[in-house]
Amino acid sequence: MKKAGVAVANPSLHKCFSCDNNLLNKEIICNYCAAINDGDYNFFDILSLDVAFNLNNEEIEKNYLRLQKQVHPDNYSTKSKREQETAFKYSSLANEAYHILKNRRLRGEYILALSGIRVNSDRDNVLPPQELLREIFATRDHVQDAGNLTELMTISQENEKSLQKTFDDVSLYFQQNSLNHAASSLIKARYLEKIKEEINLKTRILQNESNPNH
Amino acid sequence: MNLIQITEPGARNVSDKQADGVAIGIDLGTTNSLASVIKDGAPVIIDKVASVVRYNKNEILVGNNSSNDDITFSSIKRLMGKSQSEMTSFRSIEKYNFEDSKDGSISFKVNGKTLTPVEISSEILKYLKSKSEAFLQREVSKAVITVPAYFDDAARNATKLAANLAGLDVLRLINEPTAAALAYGIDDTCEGKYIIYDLGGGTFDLSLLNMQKGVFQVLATSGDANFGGDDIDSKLLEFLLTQIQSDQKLTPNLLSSLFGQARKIKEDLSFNDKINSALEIGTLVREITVTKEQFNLLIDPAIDYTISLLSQLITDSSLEQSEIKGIVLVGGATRIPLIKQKLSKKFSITIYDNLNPDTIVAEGAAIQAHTLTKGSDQLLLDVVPLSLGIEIMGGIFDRIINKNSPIPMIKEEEFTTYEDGQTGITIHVLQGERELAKDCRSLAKFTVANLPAMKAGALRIIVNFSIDADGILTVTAYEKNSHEKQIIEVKPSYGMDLEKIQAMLKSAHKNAADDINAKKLMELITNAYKMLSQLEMQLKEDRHLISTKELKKIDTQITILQEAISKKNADKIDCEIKKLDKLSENFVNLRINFYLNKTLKGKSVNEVEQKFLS
Repeated sequence: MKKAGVAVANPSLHKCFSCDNNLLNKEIICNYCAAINDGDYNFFDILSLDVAFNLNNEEIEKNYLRLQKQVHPDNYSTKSKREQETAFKYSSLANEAYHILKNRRLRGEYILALSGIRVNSDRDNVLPPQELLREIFATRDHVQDAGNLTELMTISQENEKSLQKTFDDVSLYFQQNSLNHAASSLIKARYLEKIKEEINLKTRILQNESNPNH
Repeated sequence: MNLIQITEPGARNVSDKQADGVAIGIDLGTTNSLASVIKDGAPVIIDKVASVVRYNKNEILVGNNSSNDDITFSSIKRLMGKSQSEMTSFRSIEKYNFEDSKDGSISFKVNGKTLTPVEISSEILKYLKSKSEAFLQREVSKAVITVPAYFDDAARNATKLAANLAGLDVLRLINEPTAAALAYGIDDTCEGKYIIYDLGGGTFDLSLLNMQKGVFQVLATSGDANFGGDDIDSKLLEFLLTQIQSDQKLTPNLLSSLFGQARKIKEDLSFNDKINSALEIGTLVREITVTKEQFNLLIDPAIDYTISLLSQLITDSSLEQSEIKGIVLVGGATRIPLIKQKLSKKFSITIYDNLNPDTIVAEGAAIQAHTLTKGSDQLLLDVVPLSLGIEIMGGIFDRIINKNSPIPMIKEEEFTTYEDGQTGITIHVLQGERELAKDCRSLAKFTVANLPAMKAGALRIIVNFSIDADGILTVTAYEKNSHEKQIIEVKPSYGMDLEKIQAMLKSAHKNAADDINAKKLMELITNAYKMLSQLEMQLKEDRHLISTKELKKIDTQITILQEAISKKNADKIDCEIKKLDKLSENFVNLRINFYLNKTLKGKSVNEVEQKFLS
């Protein structure tokens, strides 16, 4: 909402390094001289998205591609060294932002990280609750013991259902701003995704066994 | 030369800029290499040559496929960025004189000289460079070169180095399947996701691409850098040899000839159900028959292997078959009918095989070269083909950048010491998909030294991985808390130490004495052409300014200069340019005066400038 009144200079305002134009919305590309600017932005800023768990994948992709068309180093091969370096940096950041935000689990973990809750790294040693671990180990055993593709398919379908349910929970917890609950659900999602990988691996092994040509 | 060079200081000179800006596309293949350039808006193939380099006593020949001895090198691409322990993929390697090296890098002894795969490869590039210069009648110093998508960092660097040795500035390395897609996309504006299936002579590449308006986004790549059409030839040859059961000793020369014959049979089987052929084994001639059925049976496992990689790529990308709009076939080996048959049977996806699979990659490279020098709305977004990381305690490979991450990419991770008082930390940079460091490709090893002795886990070593748009990695490491930040930067160079690379570049510069002469000649020719085209145009417009006699003199001199150009004699060209300059001086001055007078009569300055600058 805009407020009427006398405008005053905002000392924290971002200015374009090249032409001193004010960058009101922390734009990376100056809308006056088209120079590429450096600054401190989070991944949502980078892709011009609101910080939210429920995002439209098409919008993420659209904004990402639009940004890359502006900041990719290929566009700056004839520009100043400073701009080339900034382009390299921003193109990398855009790639990283896209990589994180298009994946719902990484996106959730990133929102938590912005609030100081870290669950995403193997190095964090955040252990899931015992109960979850037991459940995960049981499913893993089922996957390993699966003797044929039909059996594996059943496990896979169950796992997909759990994954969907878990992400529905995550979405709900974020809406309720209940970050700790969202964190537990995201940890669960990570384990379920690992099981999914194991299912895929096992599927390939079983397929190869059924095809003697390999 | 005073030929109408009236330009404002700082004003652009279009023709000069273009002379600087010409860039070609090169497909540096295992079996064949091609150069292409954009002409009148479309890519044309300048030259195609067999990727074979022969080192005679006094000359280096490129493209001569007929002999196979220890001075003739083929399939050198398979050795790019490789170490001695990885040479198994190089066919009939034993015929060459290897040099032992402590660092594990590969080099050959040829005519008393030491040659590396990079140097041999650079000869092919030099050849294509000079062919392109002859074709374009100007110096060519910039190129976009294609590499297999599955080429690792070592092989990419080696390719770039080979180009530098050949006097080419690499604008960009692009992946072969991506180049193919670019060439394809130029006639086709269909948006959506496509798979490029690229079976070349020595490599197999898969790329999943998202083609959107103005953007080519590579989503994932896969493949096998050590599998290609050559392996199919080998399979067929093995079969032929067991058929004829000859106890003839297989010399390298004989083997090479047999490979050629096997390849011919393979090609003929694309159009025939049965081939009767007289196989020459040295002096022996044996009649053999191969049916398409036999051939298909032979290569079936190989095709299945490529299809399994393709299925895996689709699964890994969490895509449904229905989301993929087409499979584009690239590479000469995709002419084998069984490939298309099996793909159609396995996937219900449209297969595109209507473009020439041999030239499409070079054409795509030319398109990208044009984009990068002349600007375009087309943007190419690529990915890193293999995961990159470092070795951590217990010999475990810790990934810092995952495969199929979009590039450029900068990533930082923090590591620490595991022993009290540890004052150094070794960073072992690796690339690969395996879990243990020993199973991955070692790219570089360096030490961050002189760290303050502290308790285990107290130091904070920041390791920064940065991959540029060519997919080439730079690693930086420093300790976060030290007052003095010591930054170590490493560009992996694989077995070839920096000194060696510099020595190579230096000797390239020495050999470049010839290159400099060649360059001088090319500049003279470029200037001469520039002068001729300007003068001819001006004469066409304003010949009335001078007498018929004077005009005839200039015309004669133009013919003499053209002859000098065709003989490529630098001194003569230089001399004749000067003569023409002198002869046309009067005409040029008259013309300036003529237009200046016109200006005074109220013509706009712009118009006059246009005349002079044209």
